[in-house]
Amino acid sequence: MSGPFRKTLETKDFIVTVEVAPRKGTNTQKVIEHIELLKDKVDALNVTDNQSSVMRYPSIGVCLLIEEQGGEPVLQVTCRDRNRLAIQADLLFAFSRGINNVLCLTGDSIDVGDHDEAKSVFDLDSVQLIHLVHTLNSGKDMAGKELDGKTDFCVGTSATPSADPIEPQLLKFKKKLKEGVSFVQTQAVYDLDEFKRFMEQARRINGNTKILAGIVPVVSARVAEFMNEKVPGIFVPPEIIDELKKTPKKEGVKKGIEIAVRLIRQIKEERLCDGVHIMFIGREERVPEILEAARLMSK
Amino acid sequence: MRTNIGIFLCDCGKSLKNIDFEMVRKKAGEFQNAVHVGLSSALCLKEGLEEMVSAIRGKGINLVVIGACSPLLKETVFRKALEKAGLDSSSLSMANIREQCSWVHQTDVTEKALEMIRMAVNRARLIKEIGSEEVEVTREVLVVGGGLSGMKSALEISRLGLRPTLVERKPTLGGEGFYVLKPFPGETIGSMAKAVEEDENIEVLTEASVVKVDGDVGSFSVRIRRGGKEFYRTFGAIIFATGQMTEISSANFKQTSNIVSQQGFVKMLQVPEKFSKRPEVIAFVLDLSGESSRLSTLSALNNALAVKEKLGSEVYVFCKNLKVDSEGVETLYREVRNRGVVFVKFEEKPKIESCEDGRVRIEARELLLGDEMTLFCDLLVVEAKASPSKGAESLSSMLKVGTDSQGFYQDENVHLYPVFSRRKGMFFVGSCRGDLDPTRTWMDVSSVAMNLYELLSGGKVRVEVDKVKVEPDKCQACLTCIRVCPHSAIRLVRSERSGETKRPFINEKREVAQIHDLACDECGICTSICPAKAIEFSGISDEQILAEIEAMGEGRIIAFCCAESAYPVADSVGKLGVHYPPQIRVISVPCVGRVDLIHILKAFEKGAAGVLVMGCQEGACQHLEGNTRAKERVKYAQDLLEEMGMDRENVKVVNLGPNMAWKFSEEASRMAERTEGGKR
Amino acid sequence: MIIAERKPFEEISKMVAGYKKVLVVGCGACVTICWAGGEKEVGILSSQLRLAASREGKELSIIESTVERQCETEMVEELKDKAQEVEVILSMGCGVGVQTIADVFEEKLVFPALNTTFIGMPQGEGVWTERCAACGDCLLYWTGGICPAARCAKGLLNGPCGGTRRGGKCEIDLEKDCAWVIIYQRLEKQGRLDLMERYYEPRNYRAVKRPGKIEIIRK
Repeated sequence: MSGPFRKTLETKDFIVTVEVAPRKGTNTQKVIEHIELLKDKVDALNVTDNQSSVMRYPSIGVCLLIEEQGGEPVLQVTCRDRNRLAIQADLLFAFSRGINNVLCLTGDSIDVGDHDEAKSVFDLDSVQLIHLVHTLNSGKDMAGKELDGKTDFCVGTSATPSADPIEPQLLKFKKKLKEGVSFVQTQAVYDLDEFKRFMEQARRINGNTKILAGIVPVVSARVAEFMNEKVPGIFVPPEIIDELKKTPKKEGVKKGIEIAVRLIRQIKEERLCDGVHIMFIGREERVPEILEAARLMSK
Repeated sequence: MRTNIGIFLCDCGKSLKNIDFEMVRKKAGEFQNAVHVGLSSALCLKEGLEEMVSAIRGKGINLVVIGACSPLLKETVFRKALEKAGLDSSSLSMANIREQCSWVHQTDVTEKALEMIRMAVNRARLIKEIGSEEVEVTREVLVVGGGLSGMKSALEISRLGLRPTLVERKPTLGGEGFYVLKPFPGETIGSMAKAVEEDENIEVLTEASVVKVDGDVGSFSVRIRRGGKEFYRTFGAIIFATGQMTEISSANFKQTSNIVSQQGFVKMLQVPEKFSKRPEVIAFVLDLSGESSRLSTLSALNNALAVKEKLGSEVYVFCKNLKVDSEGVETLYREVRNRGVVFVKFEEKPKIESCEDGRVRIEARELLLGDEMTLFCDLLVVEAKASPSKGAESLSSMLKVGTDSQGFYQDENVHLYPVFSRRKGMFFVGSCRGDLDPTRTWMDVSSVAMNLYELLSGGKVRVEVDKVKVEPDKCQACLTCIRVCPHSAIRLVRSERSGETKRPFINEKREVAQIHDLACDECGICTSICPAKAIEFSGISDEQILAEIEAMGEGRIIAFCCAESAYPVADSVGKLGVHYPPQIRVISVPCVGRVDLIHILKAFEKGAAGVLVMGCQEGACQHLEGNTRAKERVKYAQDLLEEMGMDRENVKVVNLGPNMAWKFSEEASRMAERTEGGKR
Repeated sequence: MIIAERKPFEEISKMVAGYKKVLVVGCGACVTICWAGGEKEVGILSSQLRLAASREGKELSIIESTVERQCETEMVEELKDKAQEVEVILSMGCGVGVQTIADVFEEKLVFPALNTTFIGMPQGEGVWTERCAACGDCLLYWTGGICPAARCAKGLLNGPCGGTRRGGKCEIDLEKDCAWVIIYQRLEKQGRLDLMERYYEPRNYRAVKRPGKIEIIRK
């Protein structure tokens, strides 16, 4: 049983969250299994929202399942598919059903997904979304009208430490923190020197926000190259691709896990940030191995 | 609208036996507006011309079509005859029934000859009279750079009666210095600079630089900066003699004070008293980084001789090869050897090291004897690598003139004669053009001087007015032609409304493009690229090209041939007596950049079997990118054909060099074969 | 100006298939300058249609004409005589031109030969890029003169998004700059980065109530 994420953020030394991805279709069996496997081992479970612009079972649906099973869900909201009315309505619904944590994202572009002729909404961006959540928290909606029953969300967002150039991203990061953010889950981190530099800048902006380094295990050089080319926000450096190239195919997953564990250990030992956010999409059942090897099992 | 067409045929001394001239005469007489068809056996000779002139006068002929040998041979003669008959010389249209018909076909010769004449008649009907006028040009010439070439240019130009202004960045004339003590017999830098300064005709502006050049040949407006102030001057032409920079590449040795460049050495030789101690042994090393240039050989030999004369030291010359292909150099070499200079030929690079006692040690393996030798010398003279002078790059982009792959002026294009640039009235002389020696520099200078004399000495130049013209009312000021003209001959100007149009305008004047008649090189690239069809090229207008196509029968293969290479090549096929299929119809264009999509499509609409677009070799287009544009356009045309389910290979680009008669006939035959029997 | 592109030939020929008399109308304004529907393009398309028809043994006669501006009723009305002779009018103007012609000649079939794409400018020979999204609430004051509504793929006001590719390129197209990266660079050069540090409220998407209409009364 995980406690309220908000409390965990304040009290726990090293925070661990994991991402759970829904699938296409109404069959929720698999995702329920994952929830069961992970809910007690980590501090919170994120659920992606039509990730990579591919249509899937909604984030809010799986968050409810997590809630039902006694886990601590983090609702991911993107601005790509819904306008301000829909987002506000969804947030009211989510809070009313016990979901207390929300991750505010801009969202991948329509072009990278499988419904690439759809209309992009982007009525809001991530910064405006953060602002919006606080507005609802204060008991009003975007039109300034009073709410009969306000929300009390714990607000999080993302960051991209390996952006090039980094300055515009840091500027936006600063804006996000100014709007008020309790936790940040970054995009995948592979280069710890680069991450250190990012953290120096981040701490200067706001020392209090909890920052969790994104960990995405990569299982082969081909997958790494694919991600570099097609998945926005991720950059696997050449050193890691080389390491993967030398690994025989059968050992790919093991190697990916090994690299991930290595990164997590270093982050923890050198106290580079406040925790990690593990994203092993499609292989959620292997996450416990990572947690164990990195000695992250909570409770 | 001129309507009296006179057709004059020539059977070239009755030698064109495979053309049935009587048949042609009869049929041509039936052409609309044909008031006269004459046949001569020697149209270009006195009698033939006189006959033509009297027919013109007698029958009130105002458009002349001549079916005879290639226009490249006698067009000028015929035009003069037309003028004598009182006609505008542009009233002529020619059909090349000898080199491009009788001489190259065995079948269907008469049919083709007749069709060629019909094409020429169609073109003639649309000829517009072009007036000419005298444009004033100023006799002032700007010479940029006060080194060897610049000074020589200024002196020559002054001698010819023009007025040069010499602009030099540094406080004194002389440039980077000579490679040899006496570049020309009896002249040194000192004597040349003195001559320049004493010449009242030459204006010398030292510590001055060119900031910007506007305008066109005949009246360039140049902004010059001097002493912190800027002012404008007008010049009829500009000669760039900006020279080059040299630096010793110390890749092969460590630089010390007794290793000098040729130029440095010449400076030393000019004041031999400055040597604290006479150098006993002097060595020259050539070919250290690859092969040296002609100039290096010339310098080394000259300077070796100068050493013998002035210092009497021992002289050694280490080299891989000596380049003796300049004037007088072989003789010089023998003289140098006779004076006791020792030549050491090597294959591998010699090792060069500075010694503690201040001398330089050279170790080399002499190729002919196979011996290793070591020499200690007091002074070592090495090659310096030449590169374009500072500012060459920005100058060339400011002026929109090209440079070659090393940054020297100008483009590596066989059609650009040595001193010319792509802009009329701008010339380049001397070492800014790359590796040159004094003899060639002198040739450069003479060449430019002659050109300038022809261009400017009269103070006026006769130019055809509006031969290529932008119609101001149609011009949308999209700036495409201005950006695209390879000769920078088009400007944006404010123009009056012509008043002939119904367009409701807010302003009286608007900005439109305008072509400068004197600077225009008549390539037609602007004409075909203008999206609004606002440019008219008299003589090769769209209507004329389409009219020629209209005159053709079905199943023809149309060959658009550029006047610079493909058309003369087509003639040479005739001269060689090589045959090709008779369905080929050549349409002459100034540059293949003139060929437009609509010409190609209309050709197919008229039932053509194939279209060939024949221009200069890649990288050698007289108008720089005409053939590149044609290539892209033909590719698009191929896409359009494919869109309609036609065979895209039915239109093709062919690149021809001057000696490629074989290729012309091969491509013509190939296209004929693939499109035989109307296969489309 | 308005940038448009010619539709694929196949699509156009399907539209006019079966009709024997067609008027192809170009426009002398924007589409002439962007090489899509001017007098030249009218000539080329007509030539292609005739060639295709003759290859299929079909009858087709085409009248070619180019109007000063297809978005003016009075100018389009001048096509009256030509329009009378045909069954179909194929417009090579932008979407506005097509509709103007369709309104003027209601009883005729009016088809579009172009796809109108965006408001933009030339960026080099034959290259046109989008610059304005016609949002009705111009914010170029705040972004150093670079429009994020038109040039940011997601139209963000508090950009950039986390998907910016390496080298400052856009998530969806490596050939395009990330608008927010170039806005950052511009504002940095001007010493006005404070403008980018502001929080921008969500856009008013109804600044122009579409379909748009503006009325200016001048006495």
